[in-house]
Amino acid sequence: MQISDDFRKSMSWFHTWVGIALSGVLFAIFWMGTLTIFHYEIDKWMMPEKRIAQAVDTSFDEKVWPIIQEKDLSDAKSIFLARPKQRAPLTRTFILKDDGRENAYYDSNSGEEVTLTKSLGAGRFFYPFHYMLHISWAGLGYWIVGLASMGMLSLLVSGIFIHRKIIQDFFTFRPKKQARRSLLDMHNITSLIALPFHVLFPLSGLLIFIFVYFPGALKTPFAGDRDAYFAEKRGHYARALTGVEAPLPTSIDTFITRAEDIWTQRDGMPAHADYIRVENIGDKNTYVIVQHSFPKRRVGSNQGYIAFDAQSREVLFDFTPKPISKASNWLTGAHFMLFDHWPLRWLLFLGGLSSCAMIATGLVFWMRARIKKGAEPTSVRVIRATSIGTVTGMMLASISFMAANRMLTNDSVLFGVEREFLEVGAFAFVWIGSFVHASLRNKNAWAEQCLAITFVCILAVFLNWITTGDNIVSTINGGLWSIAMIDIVLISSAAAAFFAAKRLKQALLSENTPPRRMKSSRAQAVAAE
Amino acid sequence: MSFVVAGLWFFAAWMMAFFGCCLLALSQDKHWRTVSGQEGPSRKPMTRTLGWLCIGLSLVLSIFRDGCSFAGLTWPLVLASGAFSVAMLLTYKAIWLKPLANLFLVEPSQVDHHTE
Repeated sequence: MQISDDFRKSMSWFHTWVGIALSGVLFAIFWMGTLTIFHYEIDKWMMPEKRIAQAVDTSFDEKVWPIIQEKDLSDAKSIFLARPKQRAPLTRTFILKDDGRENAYYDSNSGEEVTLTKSLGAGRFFYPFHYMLHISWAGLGYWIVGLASMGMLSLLVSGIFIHRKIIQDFFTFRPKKQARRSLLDMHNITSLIALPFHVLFPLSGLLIFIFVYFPGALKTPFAGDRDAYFAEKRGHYARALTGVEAPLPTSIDTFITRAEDIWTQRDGMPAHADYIRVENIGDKNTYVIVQHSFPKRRVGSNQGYIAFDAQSREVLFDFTPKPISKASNWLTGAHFMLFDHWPLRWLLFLGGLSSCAMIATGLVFWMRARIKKGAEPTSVRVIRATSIGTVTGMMLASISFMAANRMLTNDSVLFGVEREFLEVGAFAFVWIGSFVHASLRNKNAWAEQCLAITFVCILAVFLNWITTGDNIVSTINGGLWSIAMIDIVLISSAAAAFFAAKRLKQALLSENTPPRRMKSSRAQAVAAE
Repeated sequence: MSFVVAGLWFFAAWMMAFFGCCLLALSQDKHWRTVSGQEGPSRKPMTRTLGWLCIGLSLVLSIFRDGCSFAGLTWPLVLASGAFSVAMLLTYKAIWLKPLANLFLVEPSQVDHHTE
């Protein structure tokens, strides 16, 4: 197909300006999303109570269920139990009451209730950051992320049209040519090579929140009834209260075993129930729902949902996903990444880093093009400070968030702010500070912030050692791989950031000879966790 | 499948993707010149066909190891990391691909023959 120059020009215009408008928020989304891949592990790092030996198939009946039964359940409506898993070994429960939720975590081995470190951790800070930016007002955060995702998809399409030599340059990276050439090479490599990844994640993300973005989609098929849609997608069962009192079931394990037997027979592969709900507490119509939401050996989510009568243990409802929802569940499951597949998890992590590298190189390429065209010194300063704060500033702030967690204790209070929000404050302070620093130091800021990343990474490893006694040697020996892994990533990020800082310094010193900037921004993207 | 066997299958799928990308790169004039130092034609159709075959084989291996559902995620990413490694290799250590290129070298006499 012959692409006319006019068309290419208009695509190029679109790619440039949509790219500039969205690169900041896209980088933040992809960076936080990439960290979220390991949110269970980062949570273990930030909340040392979670670093217990794995207890995957622990019985509920032995320890946790008797404790819950002894609680005051007079106004409880339902009880939710999340089964411990290898990556999140505590049993999470909550009791839904008239006046809210009562959360609790238990050590699955001893049955003791565990008080967690007061921190949002990765699960409640990095994770929501990547889909709603922590802007809850009027759902604005979701809309910004949704817009950015649509923008990302259109950027990928327009990018393909403006790339002149897709085939010839597929494997080409020329770091020794001028900086802009090598930046563009790296931008092309990271985007083309991981294209399926870059398409899949914005797309499946949009699909997860489809009814935020596209509520009209429900109108025809489900007459606007959202619950009807979700019942079709992942199953739903409910029945009314009778008003007749009845005791709670004495065993939860029996329901789990029965449900798993049913699924194993149906799918021909071992199934592992993950969520259990006991509904209509204290009533004769109490029922138990056992869910197979995030299978270990499949990509697709929502594979099973069985409701049992608590007294007779009869199956009341057995849900099997329909073919079309299997397709959408594959996309959802791929985005959630809760399956048991470590090589794939690491590949997805690399995919996330390549997205970050693609966005960062695109941004820096545009910045250098502006400078070359002779933008005013003030606007150069602003553009540069924004780029630096967006890229290295974001990385530095996320690691500082982790380091701050290890410096504070549960009763730390500063200006009336408690620990969990002090950690968020540290993130915000460093992030905003990185913009200020970049606007003051101009060109030098790239290298200086890389050095700061090196320092904070090492500091985080060191603080973890002091506060918990876990260092690389002890964690590897003790089989605590989650923590060993984070320490290793932090140390290698420190090394990569140091290398990048050195390169950037050299490039600054020899401005006249073509600087090897590209290599360094790649290293920055790899730097940090 | 045991941990080790599963790892080996994964490694095999990655190696196939990697070799496939190496061969596809060698089928391009620019990269062929860098690696072999030879100008001109170099059994282009052969390297290209073999390259695609290897990439196809890595898909088969991925499906064999994990089933279609997982292979839909692993294979594109295995391929991506293989391709990225080849790009970096061509930039910094192109000489390492020389032994592979030697397999497809055309004798000088044949080159003459071709160009005539």
